[in-house]
Amino acid sequence: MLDLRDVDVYYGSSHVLHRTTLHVAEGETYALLGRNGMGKTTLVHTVMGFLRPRGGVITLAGERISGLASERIARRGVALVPQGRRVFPSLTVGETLEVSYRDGGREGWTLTEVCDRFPILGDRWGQTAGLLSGGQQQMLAIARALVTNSAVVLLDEPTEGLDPSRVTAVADVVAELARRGTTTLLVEQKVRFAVDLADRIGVLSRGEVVHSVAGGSMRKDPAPLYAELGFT
Amino acid sequence: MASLLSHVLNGLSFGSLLFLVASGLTLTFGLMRALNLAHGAFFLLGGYVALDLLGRTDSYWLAMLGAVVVVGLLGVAFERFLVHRVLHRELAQVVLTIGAAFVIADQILAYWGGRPVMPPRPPGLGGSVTIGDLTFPWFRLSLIVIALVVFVSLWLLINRTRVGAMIRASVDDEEMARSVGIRVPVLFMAVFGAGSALAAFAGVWGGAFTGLEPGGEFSILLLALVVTVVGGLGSVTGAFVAGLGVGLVDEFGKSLFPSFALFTIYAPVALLLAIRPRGLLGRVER
Repeated sequence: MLDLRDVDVYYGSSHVLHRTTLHVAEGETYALLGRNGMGKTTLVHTVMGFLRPRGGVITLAGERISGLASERIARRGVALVPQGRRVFPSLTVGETLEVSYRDGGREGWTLTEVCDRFPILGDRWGQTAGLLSGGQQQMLAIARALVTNSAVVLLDEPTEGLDPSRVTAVADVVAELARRGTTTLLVEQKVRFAVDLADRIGVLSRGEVVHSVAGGSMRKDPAPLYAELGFT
Repeated sequence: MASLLSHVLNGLSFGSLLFLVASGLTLTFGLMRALNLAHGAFFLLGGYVALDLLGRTDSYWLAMLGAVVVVGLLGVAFERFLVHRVLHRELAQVVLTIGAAFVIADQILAYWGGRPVMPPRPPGLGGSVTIGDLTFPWFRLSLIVIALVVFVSLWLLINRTRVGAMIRASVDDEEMARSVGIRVPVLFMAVFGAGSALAAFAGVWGGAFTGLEPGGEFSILLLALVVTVVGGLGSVTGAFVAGLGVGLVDEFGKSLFPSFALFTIYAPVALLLAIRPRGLLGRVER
């Protein structure tokens, strides 16, 4: 579904992704782990079109998307929950969801449905997003991606800074995406969260996917992953 | 009393004209952060194109429509082929748009000559209204009404429509707006075209107030920039309040201290911005 082949990305003269290759199958939940500064966010931004690779190719369902403008990549079916939430501060919750919404057919997310899942968004429908709490903004950032009804959802550390109840809510959403057949690329630092949800897990180190295993095999004993990540 | 009312109405009508010019700048500079120093030239071009079309069609309204459409489309092309390439690069924007202002003014000089011209007032607005002891031109009153209509329309467009929400989203975070599928370049091109069309409209309607001549583009631009900055970047309400305020300060300044006319406009502006750099209703930059 989503393929990166030999992708090279630079920030100025700094080489961040080194011939990175990654395959996420249709309907699969793929967790990409890695310590800070290993290129996880860069990879996600590159898929979304915020950064242009200098080499390699990214395809979505066999069609090249690398080099396209972000809005075209989005309309081809890629959505992003960015690190740090990045809600539109001057828009209300309702406006945010309405401008992001694209019809997803019978299996698609509706505005009512995301408000049922995150009731706080319905309660704060007319409130300016910039005035929401951090946790509420994260729910909005997730809901914003859901209502685009994209075939691929990229989640960049969606549980960062959330309290445990909200972490559970995010986990439920990831599980629901899997149930609906959405392809999900989950970028995380929390090994346990990723292991519990992912079909496959990869470790990104210095811009390369150095380890890729089935999620199920790691659920009982994720120690090899911790070792790979350098956590003791 | 009649004299005071006269000054107030004169100030408000001039302030309304300033808002009409600044409203376009509020869209392009205030919202998109595209500093268009050719905005005054679009104002001038609107007036001249309308005058030209008036001579050909003998219809004021057709001439106005034609001028607004022509300059609006020119604005679209200007954004698409030139400004778009220097978005987020302020110095390049300054050099590009000021160059465009010179080119437009020179073309006006070449086609229509350098003599000042006074476009006609809109049909039906030639007379005056009597308020107590005061006789005041309908045309000047019409400027206040038109500014109010433009203000309300723009406010509703930006704050109460889906397109307005898309514009605000794009201004808040362009990358994220694109990531939800908003076609930001197309949106910005349309906004730039609308801003240019508003400048042309102000040139047609307000040209009958200020007169038109090549070189006048920078004086009107400077006042429009003052109104946009004092009102607060991106705030239509701020621009409206600032337009009327600057118009009143200008009128009373000229009347009370005729030798210090420019000082009475720019000194309060400088003071205000020293105390409140984001202007009256501008957003705090994140």
